Amino acid sequence: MEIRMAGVSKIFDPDIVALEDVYLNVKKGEFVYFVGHTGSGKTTLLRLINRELIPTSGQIMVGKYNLRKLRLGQLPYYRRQIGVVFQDFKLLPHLNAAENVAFVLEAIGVPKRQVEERVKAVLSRLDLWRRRFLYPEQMSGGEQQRLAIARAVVNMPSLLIADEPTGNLDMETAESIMEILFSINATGTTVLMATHNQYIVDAFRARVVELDRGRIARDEPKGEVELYGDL
Amino acid sequence: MATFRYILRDTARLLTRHFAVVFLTLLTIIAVFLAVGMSILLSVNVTSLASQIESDLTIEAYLKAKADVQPVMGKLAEMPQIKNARYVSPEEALKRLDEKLGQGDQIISLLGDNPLPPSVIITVDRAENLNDVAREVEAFPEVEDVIYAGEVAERLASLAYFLNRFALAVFVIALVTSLVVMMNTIRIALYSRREEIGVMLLVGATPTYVSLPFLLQGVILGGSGALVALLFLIKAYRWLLEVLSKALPFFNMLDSPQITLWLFCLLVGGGVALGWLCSWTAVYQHIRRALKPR
Repeated sequence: MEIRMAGVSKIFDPDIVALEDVYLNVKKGEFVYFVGHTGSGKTTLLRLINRELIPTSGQIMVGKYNLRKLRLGQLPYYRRQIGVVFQDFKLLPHLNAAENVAFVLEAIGVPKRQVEERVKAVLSRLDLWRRRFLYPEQMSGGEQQRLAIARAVVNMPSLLIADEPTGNLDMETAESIMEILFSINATGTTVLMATHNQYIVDAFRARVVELDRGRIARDEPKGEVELYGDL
Repeated sequence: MATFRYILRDTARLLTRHFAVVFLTLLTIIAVFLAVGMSILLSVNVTSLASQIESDLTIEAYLKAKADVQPVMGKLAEMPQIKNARYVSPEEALKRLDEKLGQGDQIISLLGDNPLPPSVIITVDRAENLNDVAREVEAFPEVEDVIYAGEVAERLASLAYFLNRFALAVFVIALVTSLVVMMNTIRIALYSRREEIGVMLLVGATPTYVSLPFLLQGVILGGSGALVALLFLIKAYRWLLEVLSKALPFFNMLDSPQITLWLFCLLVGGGVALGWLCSWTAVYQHIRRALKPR
């Protein structure tokens, strides 16, 4: 899914500038890291793309959707093409692992047999099939993160948004999560990931967009990048 | 099918998760629909009684003890508004009373003699002639007193008018009460699951999918509350019919399967509609807010 942002600004009340005049193009199938200090605008940018927020000015095109003109009735159908891995997972505590993944498919009306097949496939791929009857609180942080990814990718989205997916994980688990994200990207899914993790950015090379006080400070294609080096 | 299963499972969870609140809501709905049902039954019975009396075109003219009936019958025969006039002797009057109350023997043994006077039962051709004929007959020297339905019917009609307004007021108050209580119950359920609803909307669930369990919760609460109220009401009404048929046999309360059916449609239909309306209003407000980008 291609993303084009032109002159995008987001100002929260009262006069808090979260993003300012952002121009950004992301090609279909690209993997992009968004880096920057806390409050630099990474999460705001991702939330704008998921249409949880609307820009104060500027245009955002995601695939064929102009997010400024998107009506509320179209929003569910737009979001079905996007998988989101939230920083705090947002898993449903009263559903077990399999149900947490299945409910996304049920919510969009996928037939029962297909739901079972797809849940089994994605949980097996993320090595969670044996743990499918566990509830989120019975799982480790890494397992919960994998489950959140499983839920985000189960409906085969064209765009995957991951906000600090390795934030609270140990290095080994973080690496395994990155391998999963890159394997998803290899299937043609565009991946946008916000991170603070220098090691991850160095070890798993991809385009890096650095934000500083709501502006794009650097946009480096695949290559060695020192986070916040010039700031 | 999976969606249907999810909706049913989720509705059951909504109904059991905050059981105390749900139970209190149900009690309120039962009380509200009992009040509505009672006022409706009272109103329709009084209206029916008034129209029964109104449609009664007879006048009972009680004759003086020693009065000759022939001149009276002759004068009545000359009046064009009178369709029929029939003489009722004291013996026949006692027999009719005995048939109605079954206490004729007791009256005679109590009073020693038949106290009922001779009378003439007059049927007029049209209701609007009732008052004129009654006044004219009352002026006959042989006539002691005249009783007819006109005055009673007028009083009952004004009572029925008041009761209809009262029923309407009860209905409006009940409607507002149940709206407030049910909307709050649904809002509590929505509040307790706001994060879950948020996640569902973020992963592309449609507002319909998210709202159906809440709508079903409202419909079940409204419908079952009204149904329980209806069952109470039918039981109480049957009991009242039985008591009144013995105590006041001349008072004919409405008693037919149509009344039950009509009450069922009105109360249960009203409960279901009310539940749906409350849930829909609360859920759509919440979902619109959740979906609207900031």
